[in-house]
Amino acid sequence: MRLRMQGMLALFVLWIGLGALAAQAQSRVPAPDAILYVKGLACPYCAYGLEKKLKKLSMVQEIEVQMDEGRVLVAFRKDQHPEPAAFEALVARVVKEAGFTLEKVEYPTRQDASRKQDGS
Amino acid sequence: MRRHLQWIFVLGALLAGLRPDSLAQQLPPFRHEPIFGLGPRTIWQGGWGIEVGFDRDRTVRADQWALEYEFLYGFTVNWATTLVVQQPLEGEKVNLVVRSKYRFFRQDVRGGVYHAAVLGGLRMEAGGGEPEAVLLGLSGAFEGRRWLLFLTGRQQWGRRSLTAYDVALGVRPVRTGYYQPDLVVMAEINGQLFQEPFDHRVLGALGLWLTYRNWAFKPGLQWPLYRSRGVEPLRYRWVGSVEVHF
Repeated sequence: MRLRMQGMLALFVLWIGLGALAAQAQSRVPAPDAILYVKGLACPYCAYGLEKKLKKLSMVQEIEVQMDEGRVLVAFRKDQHPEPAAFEALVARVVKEAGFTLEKVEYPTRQDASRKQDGS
Repeated sequence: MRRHLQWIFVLGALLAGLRPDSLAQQLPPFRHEPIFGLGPRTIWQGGWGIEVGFDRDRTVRADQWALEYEFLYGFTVNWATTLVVQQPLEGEKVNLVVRSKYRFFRQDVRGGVYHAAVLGGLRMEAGGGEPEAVLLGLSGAFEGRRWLLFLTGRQQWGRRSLTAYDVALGVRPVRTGYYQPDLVVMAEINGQLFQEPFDHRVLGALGLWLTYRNWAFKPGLQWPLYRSRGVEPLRYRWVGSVEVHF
């Protein structure tokens, strides 16, 4: 019994170690289409539901949760760029169902585009 | 000022949980909560959890092992229910515990959450029969990126009524990213008040939350600190569990 428990513990530690090695240093979403500012992000374990629910959205290609910054970077699929109002309503519901509060949404790529237009 | 009000609310939740007409019991952990106490965390809406753990009670006269299997489901983001099967390695008596938790208060802040929940449960022998114990409790907590504090009051009605209180302080020594393993060190004080005859037991505990994404490993060691009546039979209690959410 004791050996089985120790074996289970060793396997889990190995799993965690491999997970740490696999953790990518570089961003999963280098050029986010949307940045969700989320309140209540305290523990990574509890944020898993948020990742799961966001990845189920049809327009979402990839996400990156940034715990200390309290935000989630979102990359849209190539052919899908939803209207901000509709996306924000949808994502506010999803964030709520995951147990958090959506504070605001920013669209860095659209802001860059509008800045370029203003500059030209 | 708002932050102070939130702390007053959490303390109020603890005091309310200690009222003689509220309930609780020593049960296996439930999502991200103290190892030997309870917490207000629930799971996301539609989320499932499976946990397999062991519980070793080393007393002066015996060394008892039990296995625990837990199934968790989130009906809503604030309402979760678990079914726990407790199977001692010696003896055939298998216990079932059904526990439900409703989080009635949640205040999300940047990098943290203040929240409180009411808990209720039944423990019975597998195969049916009268419930052996009815449990109720109230738990309030602040969980932040660095520090965590849980305050819980519980009461159990059964063969011997028990009022319990738990204080747990947690610290995350290294604030790792979402895609890295996360470690929280938890120190707990678990108090138990028995009636007829009156007895006050206080136990100390140390535990770990070691998580990676949706996987968690939660070991903990508990030992007696004080007893107002008689000789303390418990030398130590050691528990551990692996939990996955999906």
